[in-house]
Amino acid sequence: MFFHLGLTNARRNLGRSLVAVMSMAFAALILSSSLSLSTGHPAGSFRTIRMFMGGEISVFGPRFALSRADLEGRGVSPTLAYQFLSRDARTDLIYLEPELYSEGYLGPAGAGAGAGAGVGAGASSAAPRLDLDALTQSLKGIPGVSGVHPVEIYLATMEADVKMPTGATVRKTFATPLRGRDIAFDLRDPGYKGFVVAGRGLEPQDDGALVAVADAHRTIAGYPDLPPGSKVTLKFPKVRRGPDGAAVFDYTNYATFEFTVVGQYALPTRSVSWLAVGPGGSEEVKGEDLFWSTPYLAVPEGTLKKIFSQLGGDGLAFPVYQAGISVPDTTRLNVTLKEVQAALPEHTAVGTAALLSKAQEGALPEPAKEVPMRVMGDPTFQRVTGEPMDLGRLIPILVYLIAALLVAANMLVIVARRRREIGILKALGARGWDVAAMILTEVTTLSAAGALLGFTIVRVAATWTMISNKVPLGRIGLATVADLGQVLALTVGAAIIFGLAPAVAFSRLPAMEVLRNE
Amino acid sequence: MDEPILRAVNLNKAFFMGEAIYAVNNVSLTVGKGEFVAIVGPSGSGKSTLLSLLGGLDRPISGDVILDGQRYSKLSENGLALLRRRHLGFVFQFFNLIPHLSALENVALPMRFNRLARTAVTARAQELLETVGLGSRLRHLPLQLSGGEQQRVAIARALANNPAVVLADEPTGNLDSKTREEMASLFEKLNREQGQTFVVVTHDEGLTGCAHRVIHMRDGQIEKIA
Repeated sequence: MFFHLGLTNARRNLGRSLVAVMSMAFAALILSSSLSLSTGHPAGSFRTIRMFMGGEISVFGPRFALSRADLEGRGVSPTLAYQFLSRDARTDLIYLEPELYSEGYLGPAGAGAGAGAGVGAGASSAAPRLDLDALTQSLKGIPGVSGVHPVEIYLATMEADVKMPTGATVRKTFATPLRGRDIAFDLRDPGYKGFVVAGRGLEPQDDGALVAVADAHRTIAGYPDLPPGSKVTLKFPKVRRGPDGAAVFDYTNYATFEFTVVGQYALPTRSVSWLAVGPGGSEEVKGEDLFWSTPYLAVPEGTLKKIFSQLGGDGLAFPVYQAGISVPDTTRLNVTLKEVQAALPEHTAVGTAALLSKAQEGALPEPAKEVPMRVMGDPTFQRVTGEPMDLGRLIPILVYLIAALLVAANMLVIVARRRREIGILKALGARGWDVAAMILTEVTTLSAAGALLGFTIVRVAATWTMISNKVPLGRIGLATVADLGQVLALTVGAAIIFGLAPAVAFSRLPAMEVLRNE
Repeated sequence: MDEPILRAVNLNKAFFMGEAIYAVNNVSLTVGKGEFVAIVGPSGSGKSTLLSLLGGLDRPISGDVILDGQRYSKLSENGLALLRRRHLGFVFQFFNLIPHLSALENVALPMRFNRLARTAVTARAQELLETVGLGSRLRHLPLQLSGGEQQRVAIARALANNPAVVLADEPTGNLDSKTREEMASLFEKLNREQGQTFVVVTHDEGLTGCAHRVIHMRDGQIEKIA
């Protein structure tokens, strides 16, 4: 009965409680936004690294270990030993696969740490390769995963004349990793196409042709410039069958191919701004956009495999140490990441945000023209390109507290006007907790109405985003129900906690008030 | 007197404003089942305070009230609330209806407190409103009713749970003379035909005329019983 009265009162007082309802709607709106991204990030975030790594999750080989501590409890065979990867510049993984760069893997015991250094330098059989078929099979059925893209790298070298500071010209050899790109994949967002700044990107008709796209900022790190239209002659190591039957690159035998550079890409990493002090003591805010500077050439996947096949790899699998997993719905990336890791217990799966963080710890080549050294390492001056704003959980909770306080204050005012009504109810036999239940029902109903309003506004937008991302309707439904449950639980909890004060205050109102007021 | 249903034993109620002012001073009273008792007296004589003590709406500083064997002093606040709900009916001078509930819902309210079945509650509320002559005003809100009609709704509400005693505080105090007469007749009829016990605080001679006993109060004490 008292719940019914509370509901009736809530309906009756809706007009008088608009501020409280709207504040709760605002709180729910913020919480819903936070929840919809709490397990992932917006679609536009971390575009650079997602594009480069070929997906939203990177999976490393079965024997890859993030650290020695990571090996504990894995039951590592005594025939294997943990090996650090060195910072040897010959390694094709050094710049863009920061996990491998800064950590290590399990290799045959006694092979020595140095042996693990050169995945592309003759020791590739020691590195943990991926079995792509098994990998793809294991990931089947994980709802968030839409594809597996192997990171295929063929380390070539190029020779170029370099002008020394003395003015003399010297012929030098540069390690030039070629990265096979799945052109269809790159045409999606974020794909290579969106990062092309000069010439053109790779097109489907390029598959198999000797064309490449180079980094527009490669000269910053000292690599020769490769403008669109330029020709580059590359020396590729031949391929032979290793003792374990896997392909091994033979860096003692080479074949050359001439590639045409058709375009340039740029990989923005972060924006840095700082206060510069001029000669006269004048202060000026300066800023610089930073880019990765990579020696990589992006080439069609078909071209890479064709060369591999021609140089002795026919019938052998291209050695792959890492794969990108496509997760179109990035709003729930962490959920999918857990599912991927669970499906691949022997592998290591890393999400884009963590990967970028690791990459920056490993000092990715990101040369600056103007940024002072003191500023480079200080995060207060920097904003990572595409990084989502991290409001954390604190702001929604604070907003909820404020909204709940508003609701409670609103209820105190509304209920204060109804002292007589409460007095009548008590005279007729309502107990203290009956009155409290009635007021709490009213507070909760008004709060829930506001929360539903806020949730609906955000959810419509979130649902539209998920539908655009081709998330199955069933998953959208489940996510909506789960998020709604959280929003309502927090709303009802806050309403009850903050509604207790007016409820208790008025439940203690003596029935005598009615007669005394007459 | 018939078998006693309500007893007040040495009731005292004082308000402390610098010194103790006794609104009810050592009052003892017994009301028999089916009796119609009127309490009269000048303003400030303690009539309404006595009524609120009899109704368990207020606590005395000493003394006790016993309703059908239940001592108020032994009951908690919740116990008193349940006693009011089940055994007492109230009629107030200003009607005190819940403004956003219809006449039918107002009458049904005390029965709903007792968790009676909705259909039985509605039937009983309808019957009571017909008894007080408001069979055609069931869905009207209090503001759509005249003062007399509102008081009839209040009477019907007071009778809803077949209370042992109906306590009325100046039930005709806010009505015109014609309606006062109608109300007095209604009280008299309910007492005569249904045996309903009434304790009524009033200045209305029409009501005192219906009473079996009239208790005169002055300065918080019973001056005489007629």
